[in-house]
Order: sequence, then C-alpha cells, then structure tokens
Amino acid sequence: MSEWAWLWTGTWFVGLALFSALSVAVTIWGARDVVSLFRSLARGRTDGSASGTDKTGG
Amino acid sequence: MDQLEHLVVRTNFALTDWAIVVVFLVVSTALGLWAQRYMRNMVDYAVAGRAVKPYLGIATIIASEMGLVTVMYSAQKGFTGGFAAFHMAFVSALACLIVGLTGFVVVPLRKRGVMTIPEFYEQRFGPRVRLIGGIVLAFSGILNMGMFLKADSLFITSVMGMTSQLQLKMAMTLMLGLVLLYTVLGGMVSVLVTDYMQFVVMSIGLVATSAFLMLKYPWTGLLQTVQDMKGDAGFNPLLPGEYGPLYVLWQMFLGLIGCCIWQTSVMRASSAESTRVVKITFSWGSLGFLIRFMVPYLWGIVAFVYILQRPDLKPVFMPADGQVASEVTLRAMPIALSSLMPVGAIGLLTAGMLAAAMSTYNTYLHCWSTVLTQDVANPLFGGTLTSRQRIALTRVIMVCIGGFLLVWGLWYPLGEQLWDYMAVTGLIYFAGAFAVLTLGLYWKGASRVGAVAAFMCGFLAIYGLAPVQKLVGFPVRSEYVGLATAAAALLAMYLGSALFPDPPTAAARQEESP
Repeated sequence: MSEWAWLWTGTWFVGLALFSALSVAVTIWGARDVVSLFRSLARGRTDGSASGTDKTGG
Repeated sequence: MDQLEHLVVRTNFALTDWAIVVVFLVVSTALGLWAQRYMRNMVDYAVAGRAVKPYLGIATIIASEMGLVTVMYSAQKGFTGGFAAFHMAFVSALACLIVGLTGFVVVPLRKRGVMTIPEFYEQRFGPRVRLIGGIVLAFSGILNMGMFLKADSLFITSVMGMTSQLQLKMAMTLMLGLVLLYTVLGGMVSVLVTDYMQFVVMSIGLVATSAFLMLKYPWTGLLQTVQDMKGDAGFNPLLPGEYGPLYVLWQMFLGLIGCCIWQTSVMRASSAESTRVVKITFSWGSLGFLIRFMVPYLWGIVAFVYILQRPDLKPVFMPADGQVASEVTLRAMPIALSSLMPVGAIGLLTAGMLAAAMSTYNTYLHCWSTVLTQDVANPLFGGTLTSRQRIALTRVIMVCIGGFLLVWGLWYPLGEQLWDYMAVTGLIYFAGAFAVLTLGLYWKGASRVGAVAAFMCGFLAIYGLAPVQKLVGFPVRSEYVGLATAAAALLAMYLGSALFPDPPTAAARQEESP
C-alpha cells in the first residue's frame, strides 16, 4: 500500500470513529442544550453577554 | 439521461421504508411548528436570542452544512476520482479546526454581536457598503441554492424507484413546503430544534450505512480495485489529471471559506452564547466537515466497485470512450445503495438524507431572507422598520425564495454543468467577502473604496462558467479562475484602501469601537 493509501485509510477510520463518538455525545448533551435554549428564550434573557449589538433595533 | 431510461433499476425501497420516511417528515415538521412559540422578537427569530450552547451548536453546524446536494456531488467525486478525492475532506476539516482553535474571523464577528456579515460591513465601513455587500451576498447565495433541489431530486428518484418525473416534482414540492412552513413561522428557534433532530437521524444514517457497506465491501478490496482501475492517480491528488497541486490549494481556500466566510456558518457563530462556545463549535465541527465529504466519497467508491461488477450497468456508467454525462455519474451512488441496502435500512438512509436536505434548506432559506431584510430592505427604509415588520418581511422573502427554488431548481430545465455553476455563483460572493472580512477585521487601514472594489472583483468569477468560456474561446480550469478571482479581490481591497483611505472622522470612530 502506498503512503497515500495509508493516509486515507487512517483518516477514514479515525474520522469515522471520532464522528461516531461525537454523534453520541452531541445527541445526549445536545438534548440538554435544546431544553436550556427553550428555558432561556422563555425567560427572555437580556443580559449583556447575550444581547450583542443589534443596531437596527432588534 | 437517455442512457438511463432503458435500464431496469433494482431497488429494495419497500412499504417499510416509506413508513420510516413519512414518520420522519411528520415528526420533523411538527417539532419545527411547536418550537415557534418561543420566538418573540427579531433577535430570537434571527439568532435564537444568542443562547445556543456548544453541543447544540455542533449539531446544527454539522446538520446544516451537510446537505443532500453535498452528498451527491461528493459521491460523484468518489466515483470518478477514487480515494484521491479524500484530500478535499482532509483540507476542509483542517481549515475548520484552525478556525476553531484560533477563532480566525468568527470570534471577532461574535464579539461585535452582528447577526449577518453585512451588518459587520456597516459597523466597519458604513451603510452603503452594507447595502452592496448584502445584495451581492444574497444574489450569490440564492443562485447557489437554486441548484440544490436538482441534485436532491436525482437522489430521491434513484433510491425510491420513481419513474414519473411528475411524482418526483410533487414530492420535492411537498418537502420544500413543509420546510417553508416551520421556517417561516419559527425562524432560527425552529431551525435549531429541527437541525438537532435531523442531526440525530442523519448521523445514524451515515454511520450505519458506512458500516454496512464496509461489511459488504472489505476495505482492502476497495483499495485494490481502485489501484487496479485508476493507478496512483486514484490515491495521490497531487498528480496531474483530475486534481493537481493548484486544485488542492483551491480546495484549502474553499475549506476556509466554507467555515468562516460563508454566511450560514457565520450565523452559528452569531447564535453562540459566547466566544468560547464559538471556538468549541468550530473545533469539533471540523469533524463534521471531514465526515460530510469523506463518507459520500466512500459511498461513491463503493458504487464504482459495484457498477464495475454489473455487466448491465457498466457500459452506461463506464463506457469505453469515457464519455459519460454528469447526471449519469451523479446517479451511480443512489442506484448502487438502493440495491445494496436491505429493506428498512434504505428507508433509514433516505430519512437521513431527507434530514440532510431539509436542515440545509431551512438554514439557507432563513439565512438569505434574514440578510435581505436586515441588510438590504431595512437600510433602504432608513433603519426604521420595527422588529415585527422585519419578521413579517423576512417571512415574505422566504416564501418568494422558496418559489424561486421550485421554478429554478426543479421545473426549469438546467444544463448539466451544475457543479461549475454552483462554484461560480458561490465565488461571486466569497471572493470579495474574504478580502473585506479579513482585511476589515485585522487591518485598520481598510477603507470603503477598497471594500466596494473587492466586491466588484467577485464578478470576475463569472468567467468560470463554461458558456462564458466557450463564448470567449479560452477555456480555463476552475481552480485557476477561483484563485485568480480571490487574489484580485484581495489586491483590490488593499490598493483601494491605500489609495482612497476613509476620512479621518470615520477612522477615528472606528478606533473608538471595540
């Protein structure tokens, strides 16, 4: 196998394994973030870090 | 397409698969409609109140950037280029990782609190530059998106075994209608929630399909077949032919653009809770950028091996003279998968691909309509539109864009140079935007004249269109046009700024801003 074939083989298996692990983590913890987003929007949070600088009046 | 009409395509798509797809569509739309109750003003509508945390950010950036159109064109690259196509996934992920680690462009943008890139143009260069930038961005983006339905329809047709074009058009119209419904009503909140669900479905579809295919076609067998059929060019992208060193450089530039200049990605940064979340989102999102190309490349390689073993398909997809239409090679992957995957699995895959398509449609629809409202219409009205008026206008524009997509992408008979068309329409925007954003953020001497000159250079990209080159009679490869246009925009930005600096008052105001 050439060095290019090795590179793509490594990229494929490492990439797919990491993505699989990331997908599981994002699925579990992402659900928590969705709930958190709803709570934040329901509270109508307006603290400085979240407000940004919407100059157009939003 | 005539080459395919006489083929009997075997598909395993059955009633069970239909049930999976219908359940997915119903749940996805219901979720999007339900989420709209949380939207109260333009900040909620445009960037979900800037309250998005890391895991949700990662899910949405991956879901929205991995469209079905990406899967289709990438699978085609794998089919025609073999493993050498992997370099595009590699450099794209590397660029996104560097952006995530350094915060290049995205962190300064988040710090400024802008919702759209043209909003930055106004902060930095004034309202006229914002207006011009917004028009160029929306023009380029909507034209670029106009091709999505075309590629997606090829996948749906091939996988489901639909023979009637009318059936296909009705199905795609229905899908776009559902996306419009919840995106128009719920804005970014609905986009984020449905993106999350679509990420879950899409990830399962991608990983399960890849695992299944690798069981069916062992890795060493794939490597050997590509080596036998394509030689070293099937692995080494630096060899002249389909790719080459300049093509790799062009892909690196596209990778950088894709994650830090393209508006839909930047909106993820705008929606993030903090700059720390921005960095986490882009660093881990790089895996998504890797996978979104690499997985379909492999599917394309599997399709190549599958068709090689099918005497009835081989003459159509790999004719002796090598002359094969782009739409034929685009169909290779879905045709191969529809007969390789078992009942149930093909339904899950189709649901995953529909998820990929819908999460891209909703993000792009939301993105370009927000840009037209915030950066074109509102400035034209002197910034007097209220939050409620802007939301209403955004919804109207969204419906108009949806109408355009149906006519242009599905009902209008387009030529076969779809990929070239997409690259050129994207380049019209990002060549200028790259120069204006990077120099505008990191160089105090950048001026309005330089910004406008850079935007105008973006239109040089039109030379990348095959009909224009044919008219002039001087063909040039896409990577040459792309890199030359980007370099011209950077030069124009620099020279325009150096020769025509902003008046001292504007410069002084700029120094005071954070």
